[in-house]
Amino acid sequence: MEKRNKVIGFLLALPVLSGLLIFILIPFLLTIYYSFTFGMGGNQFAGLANYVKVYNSEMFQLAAFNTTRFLLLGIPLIMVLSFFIAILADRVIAGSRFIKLSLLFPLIVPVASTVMVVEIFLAEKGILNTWFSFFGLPAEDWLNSPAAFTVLIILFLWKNTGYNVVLILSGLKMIPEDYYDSAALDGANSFQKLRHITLPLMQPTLFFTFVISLLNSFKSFREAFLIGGSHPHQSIYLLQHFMNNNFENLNYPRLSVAALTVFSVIFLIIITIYLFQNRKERKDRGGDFYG
Amino acid sequence: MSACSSQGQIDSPESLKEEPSLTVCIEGSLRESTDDSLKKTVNDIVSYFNEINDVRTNFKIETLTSDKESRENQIYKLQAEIMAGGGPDIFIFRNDGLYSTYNENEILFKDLNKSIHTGVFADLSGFMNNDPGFNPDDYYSVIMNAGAIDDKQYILPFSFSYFTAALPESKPLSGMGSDSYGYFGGLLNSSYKTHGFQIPSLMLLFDKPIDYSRESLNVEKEDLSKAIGEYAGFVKGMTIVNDGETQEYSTPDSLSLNMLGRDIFSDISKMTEDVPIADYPMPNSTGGYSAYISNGAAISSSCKNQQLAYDFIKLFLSPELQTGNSLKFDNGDFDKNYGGYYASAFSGWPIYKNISLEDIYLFSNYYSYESPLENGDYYPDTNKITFAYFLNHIDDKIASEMFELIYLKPEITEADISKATENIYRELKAAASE
Repeated sequence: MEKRNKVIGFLLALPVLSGLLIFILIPFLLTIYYSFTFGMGGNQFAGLANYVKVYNSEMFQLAAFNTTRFLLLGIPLIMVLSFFIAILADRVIAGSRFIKLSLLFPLIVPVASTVMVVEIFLAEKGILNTWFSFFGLPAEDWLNSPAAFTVLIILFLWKNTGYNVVLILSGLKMIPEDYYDSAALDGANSFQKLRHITLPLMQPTLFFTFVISLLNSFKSFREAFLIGGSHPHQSIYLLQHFMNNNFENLNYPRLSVAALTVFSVIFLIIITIYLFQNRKERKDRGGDFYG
Repeated sequence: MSACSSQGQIDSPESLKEEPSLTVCIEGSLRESTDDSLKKTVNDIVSYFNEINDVRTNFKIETLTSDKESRENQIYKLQAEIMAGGGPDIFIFRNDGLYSTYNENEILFKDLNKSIHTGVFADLSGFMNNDPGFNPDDYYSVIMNAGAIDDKQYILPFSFSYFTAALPESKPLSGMGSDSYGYFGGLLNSSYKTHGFQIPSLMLLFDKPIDYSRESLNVEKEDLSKAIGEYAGFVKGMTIVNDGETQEYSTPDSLSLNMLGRDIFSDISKMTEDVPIADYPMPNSTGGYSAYISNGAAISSSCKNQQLAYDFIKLFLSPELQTGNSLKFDNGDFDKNYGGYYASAFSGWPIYKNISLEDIYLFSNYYSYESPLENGDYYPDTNKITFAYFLNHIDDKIASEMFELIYLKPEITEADISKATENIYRELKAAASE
């Protein structure tokens, strides 16, 4: 009976597993294979030559630097911002539904429209520079200068904070009020409640939000591409630009190397945090919530 | 399954063999007429190829559509096929001026100079070395080297061209940065531009600017800045008056030229009867000339029948096709000056050395000459051609930067030159090391 259930379960899962195999696993394995070959269709073995060339490439190094810089700045910022907005939203009773809806508004605005508005304001002959020149201030080419990086960070925060807030808010709602009441009776202040109740219990939600933020950060390529094209200002030249341009140059082996590198880094980050979080959870189960 | 003949015996395997087949992809333009003329030319050559060979080859010819909307999708499909190890067997390129009128998504190979290094094309050296009919000394080696890396030939150029300046005949150029730049009467590239003149590729003024093998630049930012400043300043110094369809240019010598429509060359020679104007090749920074490949062909590294494909594309380099003397086809409008002789839609100068100027029959479909000498063309001293390469999207971006600098700024400041330099240098760096 158990074996029959297992077979039925497997058969029911087969369509999804087939899709995973055909559209994800096999292409992934092919990408690994292509990264060690030269030419089209993987017909010439190249060993590690592609990896050496890509890692020595100045453009790859620039892209990797910019992408790392974007992640190191953008993700902590969005996590902190989202968390505190969620805390505030959790305490607001009047208009909370409107607040939640308005936080999701950036998600539904098409990227192209957002970038168009950004360009109207920040282009060399845009509204901001017009105001600047009216007040005698020097104009700046915001989208074609180091300031473009700041613009990209702001766009990333604007677009994705709302979604993170909704995720964190749902996690906050799941913490029983009794814990806070008990802590209040024990004389805990707000900071102590945050540190010893909210943060520990929010870890799974925060981990999930972190993963989503990490994946969303790579989607910022769309904004960067619309602002600067295939070769934008060097401050916003990202790994996706490198990969996209190699795709258009039909250099699939190089593209494969870059893609695998990005995958490996993301995988290592997520698995490290996951293992750390798992270990902490197991440790916490042996102690109490107040540390 | 075997077929039986009337005697009841099984037919020989040879009779059941399929015809060999090749697929050819022609990178046509967004102009339908060019599409048609290129395809017609290749069809003519296909017919000729099958006539001169015992075994008939089945050719499937695909042209990149001139419809903008479908073209991008067609290109994505082709790129995916190529990267998966499929796609066409043979690519025929039309490279002259392509990048000045298209956006990147409308071009199959965005940078042929780079594509040579990616393994997308087959190495033809083995076929060429084993071909008793091919003598490399018959062709301009500098031009051939545009399609080669380390003595391995990946692309066979058919023809080449160079940027020219229309100058008073009495004042030829002697080199960049010299006084001779002050005598420019106008700068012309080809007749693709309908008004005014096109800014030649700045990269052609340098000698081997990008080292694709080492993935590095041979141009320093300071040199680039100086070239941009000099060039822009010179062109800016010309007076431009807009008058509807016409634009009037005057040189520092106060020689005015009205340029109308597409027949720029013939208009110049008509309008300047008092002051003969000729097309002079523009020199690069070494005083020599840089050329760009107008047309060429390559074989896909995934082609199953590379020998057959080579036998076909080498035909384009044959004296018969390079001179057009041996082929007689009815080719519509193109043959009216030549009494039915072959006239191809490939433009530029032939790569075959031993042709007299009178025998050159390679024309673009926008203009035709009675003879090169009669229209005032000055053929460059091919011994002075130091460098040849394929135009690519960088040239277009450089032209856009220069256009903005020269025509959209009221005056050119150091900051403007610096910004243009940064933008262009960034493109070059990406092209070299991406």
